[in-house]
Amino acid sequence: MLDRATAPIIKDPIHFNFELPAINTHALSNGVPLYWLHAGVLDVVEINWIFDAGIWQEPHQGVANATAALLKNGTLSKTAKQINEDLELYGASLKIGASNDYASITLHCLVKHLAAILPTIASILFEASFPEEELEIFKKNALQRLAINLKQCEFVANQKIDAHVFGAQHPYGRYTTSASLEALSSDVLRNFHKAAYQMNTCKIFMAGKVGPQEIDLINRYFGATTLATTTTNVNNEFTISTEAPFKSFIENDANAVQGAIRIARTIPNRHHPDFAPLVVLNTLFGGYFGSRLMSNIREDKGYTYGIYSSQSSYIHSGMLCIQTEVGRDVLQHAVDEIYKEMDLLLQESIEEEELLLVKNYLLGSILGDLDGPFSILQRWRSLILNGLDQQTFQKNIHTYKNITAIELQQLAKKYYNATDFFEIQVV
Amino acid sequence: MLEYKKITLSNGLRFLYHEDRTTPMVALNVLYDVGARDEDKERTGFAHLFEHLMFGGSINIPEYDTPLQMAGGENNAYTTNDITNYYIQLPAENIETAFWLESDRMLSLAFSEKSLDVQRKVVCEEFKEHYINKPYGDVWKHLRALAYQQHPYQWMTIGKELAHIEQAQLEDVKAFFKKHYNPQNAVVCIAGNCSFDEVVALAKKWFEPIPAGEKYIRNIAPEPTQTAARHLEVHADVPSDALYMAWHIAPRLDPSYYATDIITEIMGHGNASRLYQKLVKEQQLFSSIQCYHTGSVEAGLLVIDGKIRNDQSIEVAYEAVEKEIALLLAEGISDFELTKSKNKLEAMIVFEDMQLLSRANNLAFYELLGDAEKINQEWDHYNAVTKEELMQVAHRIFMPNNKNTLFYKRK
Repeated sequence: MLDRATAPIIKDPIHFNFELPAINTHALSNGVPLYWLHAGVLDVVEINWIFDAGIWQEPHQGVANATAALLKNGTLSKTAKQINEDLELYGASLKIGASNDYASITLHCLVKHLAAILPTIASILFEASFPEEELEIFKKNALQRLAINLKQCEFVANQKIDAHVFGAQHPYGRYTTSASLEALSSDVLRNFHKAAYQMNTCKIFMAGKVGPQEIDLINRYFGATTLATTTTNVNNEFTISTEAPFKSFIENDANAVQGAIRIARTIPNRHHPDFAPLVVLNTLFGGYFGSRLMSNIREDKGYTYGIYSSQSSYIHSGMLCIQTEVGRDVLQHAVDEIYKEMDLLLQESIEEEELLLVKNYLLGSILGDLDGPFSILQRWRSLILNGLDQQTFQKNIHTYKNITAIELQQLAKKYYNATDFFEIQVV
Repeated sequence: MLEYKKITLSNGLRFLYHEDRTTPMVALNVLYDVGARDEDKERTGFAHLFEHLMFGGSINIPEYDTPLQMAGGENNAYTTNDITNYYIQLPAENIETAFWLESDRMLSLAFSEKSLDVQRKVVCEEFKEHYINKPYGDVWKHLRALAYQQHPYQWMTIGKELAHIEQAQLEDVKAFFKKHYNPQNAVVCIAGNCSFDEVVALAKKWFEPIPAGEKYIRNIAPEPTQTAARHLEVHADVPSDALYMAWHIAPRLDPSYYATDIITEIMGHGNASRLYQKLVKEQQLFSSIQCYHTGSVEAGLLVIDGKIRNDQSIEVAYEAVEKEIALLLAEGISDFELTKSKNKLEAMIVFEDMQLLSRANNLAFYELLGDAEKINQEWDHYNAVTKEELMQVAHRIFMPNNKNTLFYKRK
């Protein structure tokens, strides 16, 4: 008779070996670094061009995002329509976006079409022209999108919590408004493009079924530009708000049946020794389906469809944020439970069984993340852009495997004091 | 080309195996042949609520998630109008944990009142989050009810109303399990770093002893052919007017599926598509517009939806869409458009195969459609579509009597 009550014997993921497949570094003729790796069996490639052209570098709110959004809407030699047709003809997907620290251009296509697609990418990067009419269409449509987003409690809560934690003027804290969209002009975008999309800040990443031929192609289109010897790049300095944490409540929609909760604070960036230990603590607290927050607030109380705590890391700082949308009638109950769970981390040592569960889960998910060329590339990109290397990866794995309950309780006392968190409720 | 092997266990459970030795993981996908279309119209949302209850513990295993997470695994599930799909990804070393967990909940659930009580609340919050407390959240409720007057595709998987979920009883849950959750109504696919022999042994060990149960015979009458255009106007607290137009298309296995898919590509997928170029960029009537189809197993819908620019009227915008459809029917498509669409689809098919889970899921789904081998014929079908065939299909879809229009207006 089959014994279904006893679990099959498992190998604990804390005993697995983790190898991050190596990445190759190749300097293009002009010195621009190309990081690349050959992996996978499918005829596919991903390429990223990363520039110091994020929100950190923009002269005022909205410029980095608008520049990224309009980069492919017209160049000196091609109209927006031609660019879209050139890309779609070869089934390519191109995503351009600005984040807090960078702008990134990401191409996915079949390797066989790469040679036909790269001239269009070069035209976008070097010859973007930001036509007035394209900007006007962008503004009108972005304003309408913003109006729709502002009807949603979670969108408003996300905007406000960043502003509270980092300060409304800080690049990590400020957010798009109708006024910031209205204020955009083609000249400002052109100037920002000229200053920030400089090849001397560019890093290129490539993964897939690629080799010398694809490297040659990259070199042909992106290795020829002479790099400026004196940098005109923007290098802004900002300090994070020192305002004491506070709580706030916004009624965004009188008829709302749910409200959004955000509870957050700053945490150190990836270079800090507490970063990897915090990953373990955050996973346990609210980073996976079996987390304390999810078990209590969803699976026991049924207050929400989902609750998470997440750890965002940027070049200059980071944020720990608990987020959920709950029924309007249980909003305060949910908030109280979140603080109760936070306090438990400080007061009680984590049981060994739960700690092993979290470690095994975390390491299992990292193993899954190392699967496939694009996932490996993503890990390398995050390391390289933060000025880290393979040793950091191994050191972090070591932490995830070996951290103790005592260390985690000490860490909780340092980072999980309710009084250090900003809180916002939006209905 | 996806390589796979198939066995059928003595209880009727179909089992697919796909090998990939480049990954350290395995994916186990369990697809049950039940969706929102199989619900009683007075008790909608039940298939999806049931999906939640599948995580509330099974007959021999009090907690589903914990042992899986201990083994380094992750899982999730989703319900559509057609199917309910559960999937696990975990390190290959711990493959047996996945067999143990999935076979026990196919055998029987724990059926606890506490789990039902909590998941009713969780699903009600999901309902509120996505369909009530969100601008345009009830669009599909209106559009489905307009286009389908008989067929159960007339409601969304989340259900028609909160009350249907709130009223669900434990007896309903037990009856639903008995009717739909058994080896005869499921397809399993295991993919990744494991051998066929190992998989066969594990399948026989864990799944073969499960009683076959009764085969559920679906008997849903097709939606009667629409005989006159329908129009609905809804007023809501939204910042912009939105236009939705829907036409009935053929079922998933109809040969016209591929031409239909290409029509949506040409009309409204991507920034080089006709509707985007003409109506967002040139005429500036819409702030966004897209064309797609619902991809359902039974006869689905081809949909055009867009948000109207606040400085334009929905009536004018609607006429402009009509004009684009008339233009398509009168002048056909260019070779360039056909080549472009096929290249996009070719890339899409290849990129979908990047993910192990996606391969496992697709193999199971195609087996449910009748034969897993269909997955390897998809590209040839797309590639064979001609301009003439595409136009025949377009003329059939865009018949005036086949149209459903929803004006979703701001108050």
